[in-house]
Amino acid sequence: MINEELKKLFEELKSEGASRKEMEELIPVLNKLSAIKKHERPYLLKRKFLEEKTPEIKKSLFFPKWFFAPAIAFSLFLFVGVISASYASQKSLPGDLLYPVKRLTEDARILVDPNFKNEKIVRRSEEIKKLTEEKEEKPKFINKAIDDFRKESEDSRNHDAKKVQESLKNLEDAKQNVLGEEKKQIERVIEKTENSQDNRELESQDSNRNEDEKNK
Amino acid sequence: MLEHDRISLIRFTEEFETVYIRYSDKIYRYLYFQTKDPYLSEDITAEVFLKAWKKWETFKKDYIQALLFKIARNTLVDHWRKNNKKKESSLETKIEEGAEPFYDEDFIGKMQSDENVKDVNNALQLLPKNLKEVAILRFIEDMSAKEAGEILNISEGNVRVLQYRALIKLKEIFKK
Repeated sequence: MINEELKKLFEELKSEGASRKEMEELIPVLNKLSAIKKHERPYLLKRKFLEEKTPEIKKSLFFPKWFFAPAIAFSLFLFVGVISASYASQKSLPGDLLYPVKRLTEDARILVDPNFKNEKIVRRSEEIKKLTEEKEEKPKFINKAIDDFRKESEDSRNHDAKKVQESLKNLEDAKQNVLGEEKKQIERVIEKTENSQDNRELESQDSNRNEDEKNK
Repeated sequence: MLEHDRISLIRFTEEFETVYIRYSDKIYRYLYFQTKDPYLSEDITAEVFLKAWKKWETFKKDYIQALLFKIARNTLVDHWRKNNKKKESSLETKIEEGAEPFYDEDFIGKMQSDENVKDVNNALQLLPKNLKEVAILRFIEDMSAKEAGEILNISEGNVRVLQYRALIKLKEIFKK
């Protein structure tokens, strides 16, 4: 108890009839009581209460209940949208709105499965076939599809022979559906692909012969 | 949540934290000398401040100390009343109920082994309830007679009479 407070207390006690001697005798009692104040709970204990016992205060302050709702809804919407678009795009043809999505998913799939490269030339040939089967004439898109096939099959020596044969069959079917310049283009592509395949076979035979000679 | 509400909540939280750091020891010590149980005192201190938080917006901040002590008194009365009906819930029961207790054993150990605390505690237990409360509020927690009167619902004059009697009694007890 500080002097000012003690003075005030003594005035109060005096007014209640306490003598000076009596008041002096009370000082040790007051000191004993006042010494209790030194016992304070550790600061960390108090912080722990504020952090753990009042989580609803913190939660309501920093994370309102609806805080993540728009983000979750948007992510869900985006996820469903991407899955649906990529699924729906698999049957699209050049010129369709979702066709670029189909090509993107193919590129992504090749990163995971390099053998899917063989499937790509079959898909391009099927697209040419389907475009030529459609009643509505789409010469621009047929030309684009032929170009795409040409690019994909340029490296046909590295493709699976069965898949190349399947593609050639599709192209032969497509050839029957068109006339004029488109037919000529398809014929040229077939010829080029076949030559490429023949070269591959010849190279393979040469390589086998060389190995046999080496073994001898 | 509106920006205005958010700012208010931040302000209230800061105020609450400051008040807790400043007054929780006073409340704890008051409860400790009433209950003689350091664990129960910690539990009731936590309850007092959680009750205070719920009414924080309506609290008059000028009388915060008196209001907290009033809540502490009422909570303690409720506790005794409930205890008369059923057995006191043990620490184990509290853990089972999921109310994880948090105590500082070092602090409790130091306080309980302090000879002065023991003397004062024993002496206070020998005083009548009204004298004991006045002695704690006036001489341990250094409250004014007016503030102690507000908490105990008695006049300032009554506090002066009681504090004198309490000191005389304590002096006699300590002499023995």
